[in-house]
Amino acid sequence: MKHMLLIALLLLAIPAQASDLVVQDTNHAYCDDGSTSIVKYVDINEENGGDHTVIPAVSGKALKVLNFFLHPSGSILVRWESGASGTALTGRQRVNTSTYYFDDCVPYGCFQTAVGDLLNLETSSKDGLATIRGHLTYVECGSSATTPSGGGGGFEQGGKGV
Amino acid sequence: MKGMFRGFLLVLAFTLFPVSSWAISLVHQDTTHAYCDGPASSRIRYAIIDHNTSGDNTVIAAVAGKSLKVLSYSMTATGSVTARWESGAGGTALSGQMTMATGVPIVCNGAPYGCFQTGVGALLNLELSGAVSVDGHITYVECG
Repeated sequence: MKHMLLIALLLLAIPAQASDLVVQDTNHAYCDDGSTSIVKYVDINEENGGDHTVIPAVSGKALKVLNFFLHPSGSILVRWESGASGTALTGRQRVNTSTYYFDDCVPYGCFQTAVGDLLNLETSSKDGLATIRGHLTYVECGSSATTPSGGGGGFEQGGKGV
Repeated sequence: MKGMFRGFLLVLAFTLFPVSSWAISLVHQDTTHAYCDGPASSRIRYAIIDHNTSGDNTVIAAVAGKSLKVLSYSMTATGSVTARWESGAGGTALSGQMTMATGVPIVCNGAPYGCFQTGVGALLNLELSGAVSVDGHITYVECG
């Protein structure tokens, strides 16, 4: 009887192995302080040149961009900034008319604003008035992240051209 | 003897198929660090690509004792130009001479394994064939 119970236990255990499942939590991404933050999405729908707030500032939070998609109606220069007319997070990038510019930096991220800064998209049209459409995926990260000028225990903006 | 056999079966069953493994588990990937060639991991860093000099352009300065592993980058050019990644100024090629068309992005998302890696102590260089503005951003780790 006991042997039968043991065999039954084994028979039950083996099929259970097939249902063993490890799932990556794609609803959250890590921040530099080790905490996780829920993934958020925002649309990009801007016209004319100048500063455009793509993500408003969140008190005590840095904004880490995981990917973005841009589709301009005309040839355009774009630069991501931490704050309006703020610290450059990229160079000024030329993007051609109707180019599908998908920048996928998952899982590590493309760049990150300073704590408390909005995410700004600076545009300047080369072909007169141009619209730029698209979307962006990001997370809000806690206050332990540092500013893009580097240093400290949070994220680090390295390189030379900062 | 029978007792030993039963005990063996029990141990075998719970070793091979622990109850805890029956559940669906949710994992979080640490995306603030990436692995280097050894067992150590290194903090993710970001840098700007913003250069327009014909010839050598230092994108990431050299770090003593460290190699620079590039996980992803994207860049566009304001004119036609060829671009080549190198380990060190005028150094070892890490890519071919890639032709960039005006306003058309070049994107490499090499995560998690990386796009390429410099030699230890070498800067990351972007060699341009002409004085054309090349801009973008880069995600990397310092290894070693």
